[in-house]
Amino acid sequence: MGRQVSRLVGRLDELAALVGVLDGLASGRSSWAQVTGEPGIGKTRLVAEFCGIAEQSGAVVLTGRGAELELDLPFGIVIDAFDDYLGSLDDDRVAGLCGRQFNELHRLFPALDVLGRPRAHAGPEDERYSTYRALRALVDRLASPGPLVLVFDDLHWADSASIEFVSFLLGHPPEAPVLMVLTWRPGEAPGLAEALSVRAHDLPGTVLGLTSLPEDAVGEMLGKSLDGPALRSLFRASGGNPFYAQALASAASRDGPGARSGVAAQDPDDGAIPGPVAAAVGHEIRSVSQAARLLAQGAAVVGEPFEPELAARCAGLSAQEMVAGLDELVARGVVRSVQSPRRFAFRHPIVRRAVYDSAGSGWRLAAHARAAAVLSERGAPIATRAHHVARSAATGDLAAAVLLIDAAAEVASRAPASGAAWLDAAYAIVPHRSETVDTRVDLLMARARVFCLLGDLQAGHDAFVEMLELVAPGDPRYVSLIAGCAGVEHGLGRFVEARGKLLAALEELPATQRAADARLCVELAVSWLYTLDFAEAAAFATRASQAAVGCDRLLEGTARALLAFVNASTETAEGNRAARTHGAEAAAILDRLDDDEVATRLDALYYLGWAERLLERYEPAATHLGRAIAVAEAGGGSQWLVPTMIEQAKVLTWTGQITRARDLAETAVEMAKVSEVGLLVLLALTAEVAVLSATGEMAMAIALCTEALGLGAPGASYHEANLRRLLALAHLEGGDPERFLAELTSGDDETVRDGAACRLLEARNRAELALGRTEVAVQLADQAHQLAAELELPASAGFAQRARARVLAQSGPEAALAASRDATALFEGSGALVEAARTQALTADILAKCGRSKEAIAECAAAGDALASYGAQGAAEHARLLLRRLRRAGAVSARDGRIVQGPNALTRREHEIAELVAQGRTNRQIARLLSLSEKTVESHLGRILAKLGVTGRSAVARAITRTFASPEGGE
Amino acid sequence: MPTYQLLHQHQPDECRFAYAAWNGFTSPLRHQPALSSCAQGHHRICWTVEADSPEAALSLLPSYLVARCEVDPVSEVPIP
Repeated sequence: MGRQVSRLVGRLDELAALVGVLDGLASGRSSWAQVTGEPGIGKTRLVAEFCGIAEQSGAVVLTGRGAELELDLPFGIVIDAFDDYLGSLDDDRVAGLCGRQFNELHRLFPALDVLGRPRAHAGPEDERYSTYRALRALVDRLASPGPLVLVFDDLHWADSASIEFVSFLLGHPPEAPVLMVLTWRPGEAPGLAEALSVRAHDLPGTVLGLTSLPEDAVGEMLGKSLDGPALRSLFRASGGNPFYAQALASAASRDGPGARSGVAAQDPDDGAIPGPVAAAVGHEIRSVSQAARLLAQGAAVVGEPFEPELAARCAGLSAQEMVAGLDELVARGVVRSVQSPRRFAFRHPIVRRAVYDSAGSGWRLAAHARAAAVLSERGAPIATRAHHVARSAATGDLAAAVLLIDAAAEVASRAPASGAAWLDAAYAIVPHRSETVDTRVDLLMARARVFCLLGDLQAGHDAFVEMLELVAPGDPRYVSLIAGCAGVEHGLGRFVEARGKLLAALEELPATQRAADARLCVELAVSWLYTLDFAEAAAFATRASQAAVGCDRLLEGTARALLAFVNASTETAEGNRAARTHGAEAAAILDRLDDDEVATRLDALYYLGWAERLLERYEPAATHLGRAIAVAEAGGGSQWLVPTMIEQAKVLTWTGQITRARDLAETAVEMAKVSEVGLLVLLALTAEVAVLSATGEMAMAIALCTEALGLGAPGASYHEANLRRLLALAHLEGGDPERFLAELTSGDDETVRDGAACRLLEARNRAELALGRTEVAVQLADQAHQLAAELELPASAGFAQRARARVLAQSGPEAALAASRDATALFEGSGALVEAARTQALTADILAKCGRSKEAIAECAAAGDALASYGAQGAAEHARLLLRRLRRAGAVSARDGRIVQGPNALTRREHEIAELVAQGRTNRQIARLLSLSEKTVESHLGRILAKLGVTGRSAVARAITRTFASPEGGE
Repeated sequence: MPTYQLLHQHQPDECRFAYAAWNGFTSPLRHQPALSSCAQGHHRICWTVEADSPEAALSLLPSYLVARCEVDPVSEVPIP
């Protein structure tokens, strides 16, 4: 199909550049194009011409346009782009496009209501990041069958949520190729350029800055009606701006050449519409009939594209007046039909703005009120109505205030800037009287939440302070407000202030209010945790647990979880024993509560899971943290979602689910960046560094460490210390023991380990051995043993045994073998499967030193397979290198390298599982019996099959049975 | 080749969908004028096309319009 010959004047180079970017989609990679320039320079005209070419090429082209007067409509430009097209698709196609994100997308796009499903209410789970992900998935599916072009026109007038989404999409392009075309005015959005360029730097793209047309092009555009001097005069006046030139030419043809006399050349770079152009447009509007002018003003109020009936009702016109007025406006070129015959738009946003401004302020107020009323009759979405209510409601109109509050609540999590604008409007109209206290408190609570979502903690704090002035200490809401205010103060780093507030409230509390006492004590415990004062935190958590007994199970469970975490954080034997007790009590309470109850205090599961990780009980940690994530995602309170994902990523890195850990860590980083809370970003990056270290991507891990340490987040010294230790470990895993030791000793805080004490001693042991300093390595192994014995933790004992095994391997490999196998068993017992498999690789090396080559090869192969299945590619590659070395050294090489070792080579856990397999148990039954996950059982079974040299469960049974039948055992 | 009349009708609040449905759809009917009463408030669009069968005639329209369309074979007749 041939391409349309362009009728565009003076922009052929830019058009060719856009077509070139479109052709580039054939490479399978998304790309972008930014078209910038002053008002009226022809951005939209150029892009419209390009869209025609793209459509002829078979692309689906979706266009959304920003609107100056609708900046508060959340995702306005996105809805404009997608809504009509989605409504035109059949149910099956829509279901396929939306997939699992249907509910999320249904809440966003009114057109999806046609499927007859009731619109679900927005909840806290509708946070921005999930909306962006849902939209990206939609874009990906739309682009999958064929090329998709997404045009976001006049992005400088897009609402905040839309701009964030576009930025997100540039940074996370869909897998199917999409061309994003963005137009905007640099002078009106100074921060936009930087935001877009930062996100788009990995994608191919082009920036087209449109400049003034030359005189001959202006002449060509205007036709042959102007003689040389007239054209030159008009060219000077317009500065080569196409819209200005056309406006001035129209004025001249309407009013005669004298209309241009006295016109001075204008500087087109200052962004303002030149006076003569504004005058020409204004004169154009004044020259139409009253009905046409009122209809145009009604349309300017309603927004674009507009339906004539709605514009007419907004303007108070009859149907006859509407028809006559519309005919005149179309004939004059003030408006034109767009997209469908009954939808119209102004010739240019400048014209719409001029028409809007031409109406009196009072008339506009009434028109917005009429628009709100008509939209309410039609059942329009609340966001659309709120836009007009915000511009027309009078002080004291409580019904309007309630509508604005409801609209803000619906959109706040996804589009907090829009929510904040409506809440501000509501706040302005609610009178300050005693009978409005409850409404004002609800309003202020909504504002506090929205401001916190926007990252404006100070504004959120101000809202809480104002609420506390309205609510007396005896009020049922008082304690919650104190707790909320303290929470914001923690975010601001004002810990002393927060504690002062909480303590004062605690002192004023009657002794009978035990639940409130427990609530305040829980918040105080959390407050002390921020400054790492574990003793104070434990004292208040203890008081909370005692106060909550018999009156609030959830608070009791939360207090117990805090006590478990606080005690586990001491990393002492006594602390660990207390932590196990409190953790068991917390789990017993929380596991019995249903999700709706737990949803209001997800921090309980968060602290419990963290404590269990510190206690090296990885499987229960994964269970509790996984539950918190599921509940948060299902609508339980997303403020804990990111911290919990971070903690779960760390746990899954230990248990061999590294792919899932990576997904969680990357998602947590993106969500944290959206939240703009520096400490959260730091924590999320730390988790991602840990995952990358496990996958062996050391260069990326080191780069992310550098990025995270450069954040300078307040209150982050503890976490920065952890990050520096991860950085050091990354150097060691990358083969640089000297750099590891140097990084470790610079600024290391001995008192804070996050459960890594024995791990670090073992790592140092490894580094010292690599540098030939055996005596130091021996001392470190002894230290690790002593510490592990004190802590009574299985994985820590495993690290200690592994350190000993390495040392013993230097002189007595047989003794080293026992230590290494013991270490493997200890790691397996705790669920630290990745470390268990790494230790197996060490065992293989030791076996080779013992001259047991066949066993070495089998052990090494099994270790490599296990590490690869866990996603620990770096360690898996080391195992493969070792395997190749062992084979070259003359080990028996079967076709697949597996050598039958026999049941004696099985570890204790492997024996248990093999026996259960021999009894005919399924993997699920075995998992339940041994309190393991099915995946863990499958991993063990893989190693059992390798060691026994068999391929099926019945063969395992026979091998195990022969062992017991033979008095000698063995193969 | 037979001639068919395609008569599509939609509700007023569906008008925007009937036109958006052409996005990304390949058809010789695109970028050509058609007779429509949408602007007049009656929301019908009609085409007269040549096709081998009613199904082939309907294949010239996007599915949103097909679901709301009647197709009739037609021929010229002399009017007395």
